[in-house]
Order: sequence, then C-alpha cells, then structure tokens
Amino acid sequence: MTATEVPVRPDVERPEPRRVLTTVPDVADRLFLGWARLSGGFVLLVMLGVGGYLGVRATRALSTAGLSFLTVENWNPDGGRGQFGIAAVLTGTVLIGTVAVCLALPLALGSALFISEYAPRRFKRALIGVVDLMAAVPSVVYGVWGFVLLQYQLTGIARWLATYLGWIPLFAVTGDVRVDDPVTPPLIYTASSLMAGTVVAFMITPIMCSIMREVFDQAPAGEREGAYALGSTRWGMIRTVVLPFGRGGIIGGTMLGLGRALGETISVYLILSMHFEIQPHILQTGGSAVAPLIALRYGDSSDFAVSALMAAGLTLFLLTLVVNFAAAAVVARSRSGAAS
Amino acid sequence: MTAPTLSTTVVTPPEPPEPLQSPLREERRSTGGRRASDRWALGASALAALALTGLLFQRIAPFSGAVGFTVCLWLCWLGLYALVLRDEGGLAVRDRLASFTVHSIAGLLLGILVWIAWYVTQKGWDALWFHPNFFSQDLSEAGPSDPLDRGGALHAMVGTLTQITISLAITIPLGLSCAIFLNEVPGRFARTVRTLVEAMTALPSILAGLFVYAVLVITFEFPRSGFAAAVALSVMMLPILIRASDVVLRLVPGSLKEASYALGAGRWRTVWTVTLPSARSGLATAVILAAARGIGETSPVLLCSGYTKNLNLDPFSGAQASLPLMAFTLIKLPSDLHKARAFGAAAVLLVLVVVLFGVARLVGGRGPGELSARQQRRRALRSVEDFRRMHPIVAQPPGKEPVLRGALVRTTTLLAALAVAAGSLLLGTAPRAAAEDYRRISGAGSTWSSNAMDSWVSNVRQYGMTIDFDAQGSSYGRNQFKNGATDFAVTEIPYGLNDGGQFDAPPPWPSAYLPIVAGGTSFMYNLKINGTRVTNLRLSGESIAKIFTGKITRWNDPALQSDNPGLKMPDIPVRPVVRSDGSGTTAQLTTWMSRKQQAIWDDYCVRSPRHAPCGMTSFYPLLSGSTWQSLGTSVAVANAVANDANVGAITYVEYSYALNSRFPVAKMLNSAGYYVEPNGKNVSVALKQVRINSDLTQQLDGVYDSPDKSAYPLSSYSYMAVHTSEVGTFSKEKGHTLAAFGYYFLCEGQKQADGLGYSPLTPNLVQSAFEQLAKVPGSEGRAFDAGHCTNPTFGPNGSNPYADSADPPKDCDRKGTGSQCGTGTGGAKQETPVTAGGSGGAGGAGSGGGAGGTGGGGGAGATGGAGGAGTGGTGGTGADGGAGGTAGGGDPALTGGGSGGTGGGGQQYSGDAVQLAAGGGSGLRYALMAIAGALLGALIVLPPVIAGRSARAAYAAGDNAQGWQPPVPGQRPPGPAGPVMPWGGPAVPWGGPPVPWGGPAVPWGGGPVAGPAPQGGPVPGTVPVAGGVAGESVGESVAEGER
Repeated sequence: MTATEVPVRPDVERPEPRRVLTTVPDVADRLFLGWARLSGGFVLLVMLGVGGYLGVRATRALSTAGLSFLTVENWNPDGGRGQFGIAAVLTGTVLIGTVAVCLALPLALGSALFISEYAPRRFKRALIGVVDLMAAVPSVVYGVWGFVLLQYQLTGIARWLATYLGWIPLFAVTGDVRVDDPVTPPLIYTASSLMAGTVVAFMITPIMCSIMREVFDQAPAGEREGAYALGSTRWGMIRTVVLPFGRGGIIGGTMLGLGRALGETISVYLILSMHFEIQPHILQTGGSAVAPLIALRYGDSSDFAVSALMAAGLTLFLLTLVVNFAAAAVVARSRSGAAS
Repeated sequence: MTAPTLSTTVVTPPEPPEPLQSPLREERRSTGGRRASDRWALGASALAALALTGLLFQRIAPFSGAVGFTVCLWLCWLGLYALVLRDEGGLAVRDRLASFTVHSIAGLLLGILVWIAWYVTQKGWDALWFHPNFFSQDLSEAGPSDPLDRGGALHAMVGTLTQITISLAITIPLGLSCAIFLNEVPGRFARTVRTLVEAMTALPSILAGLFVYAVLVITFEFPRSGFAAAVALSVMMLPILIRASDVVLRLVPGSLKEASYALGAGRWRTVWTVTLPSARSGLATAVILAAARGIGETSPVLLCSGYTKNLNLDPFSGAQASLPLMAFTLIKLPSDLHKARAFGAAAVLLVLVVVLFGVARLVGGRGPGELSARQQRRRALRSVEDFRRMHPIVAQPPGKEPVLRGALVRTTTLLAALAVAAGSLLLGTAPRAAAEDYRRISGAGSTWSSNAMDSWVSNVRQYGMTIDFDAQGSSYGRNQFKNGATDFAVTEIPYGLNDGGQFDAPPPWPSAYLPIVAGGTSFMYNLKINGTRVTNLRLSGESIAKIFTGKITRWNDPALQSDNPGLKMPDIPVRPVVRSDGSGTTAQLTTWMSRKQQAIWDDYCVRSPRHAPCGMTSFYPLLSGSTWQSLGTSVAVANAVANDANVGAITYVEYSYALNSRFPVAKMLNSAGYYVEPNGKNVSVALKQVRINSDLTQQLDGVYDSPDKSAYPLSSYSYMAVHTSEVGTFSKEKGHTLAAFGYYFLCEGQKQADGLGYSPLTPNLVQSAFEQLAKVPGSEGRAFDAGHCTNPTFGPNGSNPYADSADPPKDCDRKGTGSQCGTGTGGAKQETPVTAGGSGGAGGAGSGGGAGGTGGGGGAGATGGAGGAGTGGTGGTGADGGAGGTAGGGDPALTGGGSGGTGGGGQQYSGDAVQLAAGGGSGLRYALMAIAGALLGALIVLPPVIAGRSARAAYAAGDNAQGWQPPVPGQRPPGPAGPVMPWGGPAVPWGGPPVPWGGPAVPWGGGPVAGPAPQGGPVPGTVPVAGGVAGESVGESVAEGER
C-alpha cells in the first residue's frame, strides 16, 4: 500500500479503508418499509386501474374514429366515424383551465401571502378556516351562484372588453352580434368560457392557497430575519426569501388547481353553453369541456357513445399527465421541492 | 420648509429588553408600524379614486353593475396611491403597493366567500328558519307542493356523514402511507407513483364514479349504495390527499430527521416521532382539502348510490342521498319550495363543513411542539413522576388523581352525549308499522315527470310504501333499468328507437310500458315591446320549427308578425336557448318536428351535420358558428330565458318551469286554426286522439293534428317501464309494491296532475295501463273500473269531464281574424295591450302605434300611455288611446311615443330604452364630471400637504418615539454629504415596517450604527449596507447559498 497505488491524486494521504455501513433494519423498520411499499403499490394499482379502465372502454370508439378523433370538432358519436372528435372539447377544456388558473393564481398567491405574512397572528387561524370553507362549498352551489348571479354581474365587463379590446382575437365576438349595440341582451356574453373559467377560478383558489400558505410558512425564519436585518422591506423579504423558497409550492399548488379546473364537472355543466366547435372567443357564449361533456351525455348515451366519452376522459388524463411532467421538472429544481 | 434639525435630537436608548420568559416560546414581534401619513395617503387616494371612478365610469367605460365599478375603483386607487407615495422612494412605494395589493386580494377572496355564503343562506333561509323539522325529518313525506314545515334534509345529512366517514377511513391511512412512501423510499418506483398520482388529481369525479361503478357494482355485483359512493369518493380524494401531504412532508427539515437517526432511531421511529409530528399541521390541511373535495362532490354519489328522498341508515344497501346530491337534484325541479330546500341543504353542508374543519384543525392543526392543555398537563404529570422517581424523599405532590378523574368525567360525558344523540336519531326515525308488507323499490328517470312522481312518492308513504325515485333524465332511467340497477324507469321515449343512427336496445327481459302522466312541451320566451312584457305571443308550428332551426332570426320576421297581428313585433334578434344534455323534452320537440315539419328539420339537421331524414333525437344539434345557448338542465334554460335582461330569448321547456318562473309561454296554432296554450286541459283534449300501439308506445300523429278547437298539438305523455317477470332482484313482493303504487297514481294521483303543471291521463290511457299493471308479477291484477277511479278525466258514460271543461279558445285567438287576445299565458297572467281589433283596418303601419292602443282598457301604465300617443297621432284608433296619451304626458317614455307617432310606428321601439337612458343621464353626468374633476385635483394635491403638515406638527411635539420621520413633500433628505444622524434611535427610522424585531429589542438598538435615512430611501454613505436594495440582494444570495 503505497502512494503509487493512487496515481491520480498522489497528494492525498493513504485513505482509510472505507467503513462499510450496513443498515440492518429491525423488524419494525422492515414492516414499515414493506407497508409503505405496499400502500404505494396499491395506490399505483388503483390509479392504473382507473387509467386502464378508461383505456379499455375507449378502445372501441378510438378504433372506429382513428386519427379523426383528434381532428374532428363535432361530438355526435352515434353518427360514426368523422362525426366525433375531441379537437373542440379539448381546446375548450384548456381554455377554461387557462382562464381559471390565470384568475386564480394572483388570487391564491395574494391570499396565501396575506395569511402567512401580513395577517395579524390572532386572525390567522380564522382566515385559514375561511379559505378551507371556500374549498368545501359544493360545486353545485358555485354553479348555481355563477349561473344565476355572477355571470350577469360580469357581463358589463365582458361587453366592455369586447367593445374596446375586441381586436384581440381572444376577446372578439363573432356571429350575428353587434357588440356596440346596447340592446344586445347579456345572453351573448353569458355561458361563455370566461364565465365558466371565473367560477372555476373561485373553486380552485382555496386549494391553491392552502398549499402555497403551507409552504410559505415553512420559509426559514433565519433567512427572513437576515433579510430584514439587512434592511429589506417586507416586500423585499417576501420577494427574496419567501417566494423563491416557496416556488415549488406555488407551482405544485397551481398544478393541483389546474388539475381540479380541468376536471371540474358540475359547475361548468350548469354554466357553460356546450358548442362543439373550436371557439377561441372567451367572451362569447359557447365553449366546451371534457368533464361536463361526460356528465351531460353519460346518462343518455348508447354503449358506443359511452366509449367515446371514455376516450375523451382518457385524453384529459393524458393531458394532465403531460402538464404534470412539465411541472414536476420545475418543482424538482426549486428549494422547497428539492428534498424529494 | 427647512429640513428638520436632526442632529440635535438624541434619544436615550431604551431599557435593555427583558430576558425572554422561556426559550421555547418566542413571541413574534409585530414588524408593522403605521404612520399617520400612511393613513392619509391611503384614505386620500381612496377618495380621489372614488371621484375618478365616478368620472370614468360615466364617461368611458359602459360597465354595468357593482363589479365593473369595483374593478375600476381599485385600479384608480392603486394608481393614485402610487402617485401619492411617490416621494417616499421607490423601495417604500413598492412595499406599500405590494402590501396594498395583497390586502385587497385577501379582501376580495373574503368578499366572494361572504357573497356565496350569503347567497346560499338567503335562498335557503325559508327552509331553515323556524323549521326544526329540516334537521329532524327526511323528505319522504314532503312533495313539491308541501309547505316547508314538512320534511327536511336528515336523510342527506346522515348520508353525507356516513359517506365521508367511510371514505376518510379509507383515504387517510392509505393516502398518508403512500405519501410517506413517496418521501421515504425514493426511487424510480416512487417517481412513477408520484407522476401518476399527480395526473390523477385532474380526474373528473364522474370518471372515478364510473370506475367504481364498473368495478364494484357491475363486476363484483356489490349493490349501489352509500358504501360504493364512499369508495368512489375515496378514489377521487386519494390523489389530492397524497399530493398535498407529499408537498408538506417534503418540507420537513432534513436536519431533524438526521438528528433522529443520529440518536439511533430507526426509520419507522423517525417517521412516527419526527416526520409526522413536524408536518402535523400541513397534514391536517391535506386531509381537510381532500375531505373538502369529497364532501361537496355530487357525481360519484349520483352514479354509485343514486338519490332518494328516504332516510337510509345502512350504507351497504340501497340508495343513500348526500347533501350536495340533494341540492343538485332538488334545484333542478321546478318547485320553489324544493329550491329553498336545496339551498337549505347547501347551507347545512357549509355549517357542517365549518364544524368538521374546526374540529380537524383543533385536533390536528397544531404545529410541532405546540401542546394542547391536556398534553401539557400530562407532560407536567410525567415530569413530576420522573422527579419523584429520582428523588424519592421529596414529598408527594398532588395532581395525578384530579387529572385522571377529569379525563374520566369528560370521556363519560362525551360517550353519554353521543349515545343520546344516536338514540334520538334512531328513535326519531324508527320505521313506522307498515299497513301492508311493502318492499322498498327504486326507480330512476325523467325530470319531465319528476314533479308528479315526487308528489306521489310522498303521498304513498302514508300507506307504508317506500319508493326511491332518482330524477336524472329519462335516458339515464332507461339505462339504469336496462342494467338491472333499478326496479322501474320513467321515460318520455320508449326503448327501441333510433337516435341519430344508434338503436336503443330494449332490456333483455320482458317489460311493459304504462303511461303515467301527460303534459305539453311549452315554449317559454322573454319578449318586450316598448318596455312591456309580451304575454300573449302566438306561434304557428312552422314558425316554431323555423325559430329552432335558425330560419327566423328576428322577432319582426313577417311570419311572426302575421302570427301576431295585434303586436308590433320589435326588430330584435331571436335568441333560441336549447338543451345540451340528452333530454326527453328535446326528444318530444324533435319527434314533432320530424313528423310535422320534416323539410325544415331535415334542412337544418343535415347541416349540423347528420344524415337526412332526421328522426327524433335527445341531443339538440347546433350548427357550426352558432351563437345560441345550449344549456344542461331544464332549470338552466328556464333561468336563461327568465333573466329580465335577456330580451329576445325563447326556449322549449316543461310547462311547470314557465309557471314557476312567472313567465309566459307561446300559444301554438292547432289544426282547427286556433292558437292555444299548453295547459293541462288543452293537453287532455289533444290526447283524446292518441293511438296506442300494441306495445303501449305512443302514436302521436293524431294528437299533432287533433281537429279539436282547444287541443294543444305538442302534447304527449311519459311512461313507466316495468318488469313483467321476476328477474334478478325484482321479486313478487317488489312487484306487489310497484303495482300498488301504480294503482295509486293512475287514479288518485292524477287528481294532483293539473296543479303540478301536468294533465291527467285520459281514460283510454288509464285503461291500457291497468292491463299492463296486471302483468307485473305479484300484482293483484285489479280490473279496470272507472267507478272506483277518482281520476278527474273519468265521467259518467265514458265522458271526460276534465277535457270537456277546457275553455274553448276565444275567437280573438283564431287565425286570420287579424286580432289577438291580450290575456297572459303560463306563469305571466298579466294582460298585454294589443291593437284594438281588426275593426279599424289597423293592418300594417297602423298597428305600429297600436301597441298601446288599448291602453285605456288594459291599463298597462306608462307603456299604454306612451304607445297611446302614437296611436292617437296616426290612426286615432279610439278616444281611449288619446286619453292615455295625454295622461302619459309626464312620462319619460314620451320621447319614444312621440317618435313612434311621427314615424308611424316601426323600428323605434327597440331604440327607446337607449334614448331614455342617454337623455336622463346626461345632466347628471356633466355635473358629476365637474365635481369629480375638482375633487381629483384637490385630492391629489392636498394629501401630501396635509400629511406633511401633520407630520411636522407631531414631530415638533417631540412625538417621534414611534420612530417615524416627518415626510417632507418634494424635498429629499440630504445626500451623502449631509449630516450623519447621530440618534441611534431604537426604532425604525426608515419609511415602513421592515425591522423584524420592531420593538426595542432590536439587535442594533442603541448600537453604534447610525440609523438609516429618515425617509424612504437609504442614505448611502452613513450605513455600510443601506436599505432594502442591498437587503434584497443579500437575501437572494443567502437563498442561493443554501441550495
């Protein structure tokens, strides 16, 4: 055993023989690990079961439709090949999900920051309770509230946007409608992707807010104090400590919210006017989404139509899988999410 | 204005801070500190924003409603606040604006929640207030027209609690173990699980429901029940729970776990004693989030359990309602009382959630190391015990017994209370002694006939029959019956029809149809002429078909005008609203169109695109590019039309929805040339012509063409599909119950039909229904005897007194008379003023002003007067009209009437409202603008001046212990060369709350470092690292460093 045996780094002292660390888990630990693996496996099985179930049920429709399933806008499965596809439904889903997340993200971020950073300590608990309560309002209530009350409050804004920002394709209103005609009934602006997205935004805000708040609370006190001690303002501290630390939670919470937004059924069912064509004008009545489509059509469908609905569900599932892969990549690089 | 002489002020350093009481319990210090000028700035900018918004709102943004105003106000406020703060330095401005934004977002969220909670409570108030029965009874005995002091939501509360308990019992152990697995056993497998779980969070709950339905109910033949629903909820809640707890478990500091390992603890011990307790509060949040999602979910319960209005304490068999499902089901029904109950159920759910979450937070929401009073007592006790063990000489301290006794007493009390509660629940709902041995039967189907079914099911409770009926649509009912999940189905269309090319196969076992209740498909509309609601619209079959195929796009279309000679049809677009779900009502309309208006219908549907000849369909097709609304439920389409602002909308819907919305329905032209309303009697008259096929399906051609004067053409009836053999779970006993129920509703039950918005079955239908009922196994096979049947359509000698009592349509509703009755229809019985008949040759132009011609007689206030002026001017239809015109002289609608008069009627009607609004608002607007402008100027200039003055005054009084410095508007503090602030003051010298240890215990309190600049910005030169800019970057680098 001479230095020549380590030719690469001759300056290093002769290394100690490396100690072999063998962990011998005791019975309890082995049981625990086994149980953890088992539950993980079981959950995997259930989730695969759901996915597999969708896949099996969807094959009939998919084999009939072939590639036209991705390109056709109409939804009339009973009409056979070429009469049904998810081009419109999936676009509508993404549109509503995007609107919802765009509105919910500032809402959730702001309220999470308020609860964790700004609120007086004695109100904190009550505020957390309030947000939780909002998460538990049944979707049918959100749906009816949005349908009867909220959307008629928002038509003024929709009309304004359509009038003054109508040159942006997203805000355009097409068809037999004159936007500058004041007697145009609000019917044109209700039951739109925007209205559905707004209500869904309120539904997903609490779940996003809860996760973000939980992560913000965990931002290390030492760093906060360090920032303050260096003369930072409160906002400066938030910007440099809390937000970077909580990035994983922000993204994770947003993804969870997006997931719920994409899968939201009953409230969209009640609000949205179902049109099976790609309709990118969020202000105008009409839109479409996968989950409410399933709810609307499931009970009344023939076997083949149910298979088509399952295929739509499967697409939604795959879509979220992709979105989550993207998010996981970002979360894994953030601090609060790096521990995994 | 001179700079304050800072150099002379020396503040004595404060007393050194008292040592902290306990090293474990550090009080977090408030870092806030608000100065008077802050409040001034905030308040002043609020006022200015208000003024500015008033200006903008009137002038530029034609927003309507409070929401637009609030948005505008907030934006102005933000901008002005930034403007007012501008001389505090960029850093402070950013800090304030961030704080302002965060506060207002939190306020917005709170506002929305309050709004929703208020909405729910207010709508459900009638059901809840002073109705203890709402909490102690189920709905089994309360029909759609029973008052609110009968029936309640007990069945749904019990269902919700049972289901959520079961699903939490499944989800919490499984979900937490899985989350621990993801964190403790990392690797490829864990990554796969995590990815899949994350994707699953977007699983629409209805798919979770379908999955469990397919696996548990169809494959394993587990009955549809509360348990199946709970399993479906678990499948849906699992990903949420796992994902949320995964996020918090990841955040448990690694050092804690390593410390545990270093002390020799194994993995299991570390997880149990370190990881889980540190993440306790977050895990509680995760569980709450999952429970929140599960408790408010409707569709899995709908699929796997089904709704019932009867209490079901057994989660393992039979349908079991839940609160959201109850709300969802009842809200779709036309009855106002049921709507109140639906909102009551939602309010109860909210309260329940508050209570449950409060408990959950109490139990699980404490942070690590934060002990409850009981835990603290126990810990004290243990340490006393340890102390005793180690120092046996020390005298016995008291304490053990009282604590134990207290715990004992508490536990006993709790148990006793639980026992009492459970006992009262059981006693209160003990099943009543049944008069006969009836079995519980279940069915599902049509919402169209749900009102009648609901009423009958409540009424037969008194005979001891328990019937679960789930009104989720007729096709749903047919499918459930075909799958063997229910004992009967209620549907508008029979099996064996072709819908869009798909054959709806009948069930594989023998079954029969019996008619249950009849009714008309009505056309509910929202039309105003000159501000007055039209309640007497008449439509021919062709017009209806053209409206719903997009051929007629404006209300003043000649076809509509010729249907309504007494109205001056306005030039506004027709906006049809159709159903997007599969619906029996759509099927009825399209059946009629495919029979009577084949050409128009085919022309439309091949463009949708479908293949001609198009038969009936349950799904209304829309053309590409259409701006029609297509909504999911009857209540949604009815609501869309019934919104006051949606003038021009029309939809097809059950008659009872129009009645309950207090909206009119169109009178439809029949073969006899009369326009008739779809009320029960007119439907009954038409149904005299129904021909019944051998399988009891309906042959409606005769109905559509009924020659009777008062027949409503679009009439039909709905069926019940029943078993005619013992199959699966359908036994003789169930058949006996079903037949008894049938005998009830065919005779006794039909008496209520009219009041519920239906029409009682005609004798021929009842007779054939009796024949079918006799085929049901277990039926007593009662022979049909008109004398013993109290159905109102049964008269002596085979007459039909109910149909015969139908008012023959008035002559004014005959086609071609050039006149039109003014009487209201549907839920809007008020009269509509029409032109005074064909006598004056009112024809085309004359009718323009004529809208208000009968104003004198009809008495429709302002419109009558305004229109009257027009009529008086052109045709001079009568002295009444002229009088109306003068009477209405002072009315704001005069402009409209005047222009109508000179122009001879015509297009002005739709424009009137606009002219009025513009005219009425202009004076006010200019005044407001002037005021706003003045206010704006004053308010932007004044606040800093006042703030500065008050600050200086306070400073002069030596009141700077708070640590603020007087902001001097427009003047910067001295630069680097300026005097060094010698006062090593204890408090925050710069603009805001940034000192973390805001109190006197600041590390630099009295230290040698001079306080930074007196104002927003740091003063370079005096402090080595000054201000937040550096702080931010350092904070960032710290954050970077730890990665």
